[in-house]
Amino acid sequence: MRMIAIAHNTFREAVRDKVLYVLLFFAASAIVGSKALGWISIGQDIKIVKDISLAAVSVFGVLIAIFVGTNLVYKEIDKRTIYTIVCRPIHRYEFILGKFAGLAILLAIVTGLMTGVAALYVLVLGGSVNLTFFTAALLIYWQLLLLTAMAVLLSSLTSPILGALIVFSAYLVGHATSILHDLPTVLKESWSGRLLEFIYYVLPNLSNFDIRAEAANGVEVSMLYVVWALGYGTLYTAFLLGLASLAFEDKDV
Amino acid sequence: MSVIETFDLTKVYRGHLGRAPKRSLDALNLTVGENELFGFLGRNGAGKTTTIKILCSLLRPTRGRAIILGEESRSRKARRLIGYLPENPYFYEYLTPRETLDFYGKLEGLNAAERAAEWKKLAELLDLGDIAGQRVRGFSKGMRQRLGFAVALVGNPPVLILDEPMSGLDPLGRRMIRELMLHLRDEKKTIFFSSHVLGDVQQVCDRVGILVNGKLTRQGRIDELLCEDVKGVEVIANTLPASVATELSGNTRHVRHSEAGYHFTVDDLNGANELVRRIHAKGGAVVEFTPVRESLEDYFMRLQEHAK
Amino acid sequence: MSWKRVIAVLALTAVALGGTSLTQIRMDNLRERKFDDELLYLPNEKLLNHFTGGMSSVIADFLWLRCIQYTSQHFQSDNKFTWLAEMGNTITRLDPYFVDAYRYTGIFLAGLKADDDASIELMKKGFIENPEAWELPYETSMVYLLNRREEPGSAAIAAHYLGMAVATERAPESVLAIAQGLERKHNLNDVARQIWQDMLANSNDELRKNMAKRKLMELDIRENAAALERIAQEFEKAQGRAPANIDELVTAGYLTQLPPDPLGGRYFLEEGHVENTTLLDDLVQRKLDVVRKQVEKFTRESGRPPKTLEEMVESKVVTSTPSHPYKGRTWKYDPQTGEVSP
Repeated sequence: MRMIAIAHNTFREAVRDKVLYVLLFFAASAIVGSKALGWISIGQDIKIVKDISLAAVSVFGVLIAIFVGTNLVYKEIDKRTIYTIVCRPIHRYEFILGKFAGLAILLAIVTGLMTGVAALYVLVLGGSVNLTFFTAALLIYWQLLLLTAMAVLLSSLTSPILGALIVFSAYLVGHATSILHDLPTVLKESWSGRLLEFIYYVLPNLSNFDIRAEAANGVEVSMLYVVWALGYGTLYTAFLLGLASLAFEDKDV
Repeated sequence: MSVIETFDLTKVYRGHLGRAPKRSLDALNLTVGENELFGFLGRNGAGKTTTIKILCSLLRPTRGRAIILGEESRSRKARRLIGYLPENPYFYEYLTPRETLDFYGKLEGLNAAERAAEWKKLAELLDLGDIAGQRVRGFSKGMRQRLGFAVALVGNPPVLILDEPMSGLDPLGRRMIRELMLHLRDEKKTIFFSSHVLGDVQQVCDRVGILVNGKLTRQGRIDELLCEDVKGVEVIANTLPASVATELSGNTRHVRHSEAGYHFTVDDLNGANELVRRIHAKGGAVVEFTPVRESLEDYFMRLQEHAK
Repeated sequence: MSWKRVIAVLALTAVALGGTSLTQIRMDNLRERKFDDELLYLPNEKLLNHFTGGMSSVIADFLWLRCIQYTSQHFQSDNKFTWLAEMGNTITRLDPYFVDAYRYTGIFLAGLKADDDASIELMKKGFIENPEAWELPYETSMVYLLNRREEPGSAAIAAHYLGMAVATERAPESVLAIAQGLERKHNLNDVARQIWQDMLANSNDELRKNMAKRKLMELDIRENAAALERIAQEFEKAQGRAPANIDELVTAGYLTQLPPDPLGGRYFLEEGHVENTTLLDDLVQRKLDVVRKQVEKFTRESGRPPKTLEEMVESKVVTSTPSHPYKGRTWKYDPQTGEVSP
């Protein structure tokens, strides 16, 4: 109940954020404009439209998660609206989870909307959309949840600019962790190899959520894999939210 | 039973990047009794807001603890008992007062019917009816303060903690807040409020605590704290010729002349009575007789001097 | 932070990261093909350049790392290198001066995938962009020597590319030795003559016919020059001194007349070697091309043409400029316009 009130309010506030509409505009332009890129390469235009649409959903979703997310808690402290909230009979973690849930709902709507528009566009252009396309969008959303949780954690620890930088770096690195895994055999036995392997398992591996290539090429993805990926995301998100709650529990505001 | 009680409450702000840590509050022991209107006095930076933030669970004390109606201040039970008005309260700018109160009602765990009843009651008490549908964004200082009071009162808490409730308001606004506090005391609430404006405190408070540089220097009833002795008596008399006035001034501390007549200041009541007799004897008329006691301001200045 | 909280954070971290690691291991097994799938994005390499936000070469480096991993991974498993050529093309399109990427992708393509067409095509693209890189013509010649050994004329083509590698004047001694050894071992002129005669007979278009004719004439000149050089050596053995000039071979009666040059050039003696102006002029044109490319590169990087040709070497834009094929001559260079002429 209290958490829902916070979530509802967070959602209401985020919807009013102009950044959201700027980003949505760019996302829509990217999806519609992908057709133009399709003309350049021969016979691949539907694939490219799918590619770019899903990339747009991912990238702009990430930007929303970062720009809105890293501001969530910080803004409440900065604008002192938090004073009259944490003095209420409310657990501090309820505040953190409420903030997270508010943005998660917004992202669900935004991701759903962009995916729907992209799917319609593909159909209008004469292509076909299969289940994998929507599964890819679902996994993108799950990745956004993880990044949002990270943004909320940083939002309760540091300034939005630093937080945004860190989350964005994590996004880039998170998609490239397999570099650490696909090591040459020579390196694998050494200490540095083991260290890199360790880092590989500790960092959030965002390529787990990336089945866009399969989606654009209409390749089947096993449901088992999707379930594991969702589980991975849920676990990691819960971990980050747990850390955020612990960090916020003692924080002087 | 005391409503608010603190034990050795201390707050040291950690220094960032090699800056020295700052001790804002030093072993504060404070007691506020039931249904009291307690004034918490101190200059800016004395530690008033720090104390209030600790009482409201915004800050964690470095040492010591605070009890509110028998509950640890950080517990949710204690937080259910207090209503808090921050200095210059901030609310979500895009909400209307009605939505704002609804939001805080939800945080207090009230159901829809209770929230509607709460709105009706508070809107009437604080005269929010006219602005119910306007966004907070365009509100004046006075409107915000009224809304802040309403928010603090959501859930009908028995203890109110107000940080500088009168700062930045015009005289009309200050009077309104004063009357509101007296009204709430009549409703059996305990009110703890901070101020650096002595006049406001003296007019309404039962008891005061005075904070100097993070230390509680005094707490008690105002009349107990202030020197009970008469510091002097002012007697104003007219229809006296100037020569007589000069003659009488021999036994007084100080004389001055205004349109009302001659103002004589004498040290004590005996001297004053003697003076009145002599005025009458000379054919003069006494128009005012005022014993002069120490004001809170004098007392406060004395404390500050002492602290140095 | 209190001890309790530190312990809570550590416990949460241990449990959560343990859980995610186990999940990750499970997923890595479920999705072994993920690496290839990632590359499904690459075919649009023409677009890629526009979307790199000025970081083309960084992305090329990154892709190059992936390319090496990809190759070693498949080398250890299924020996299928489906995306190798695409990767090489994409990397070198992003960074056209990435010589190692051309070279090793070329070697991988020829050596591991046995796709010598793709290998040769990639490396040719490479030495058009990087005329001073001796490695690329060298590796191309190796592809002809190793992968196409059975095909007639491959040795001649290999020698041709080795010649190009030597012409950069940056190839190590060993390459020079291989080139000379190759020339001695095969009667390269005969092989080359056969290739050009085939082309002359089988081509329908004028351009290729003319090219074959010209190449055959060049071969004649080359053989004549070699013959003249042998006669000059006989002269030296008999007279105890080298001939003063080429005409002395006729006046001394070793020859009735000098052989004709069908392309209008003439033969001359240069330090015991017989040279021909037609062949040297041809070499001048090719080397001139290299120098002009170097000047272009310098101008592109510095925003102005070099003051002298030496400046390009001094400022480390290129490691060396090719020398003039004619002994004692240098390139004419106009620093105002950046024009190079023989």
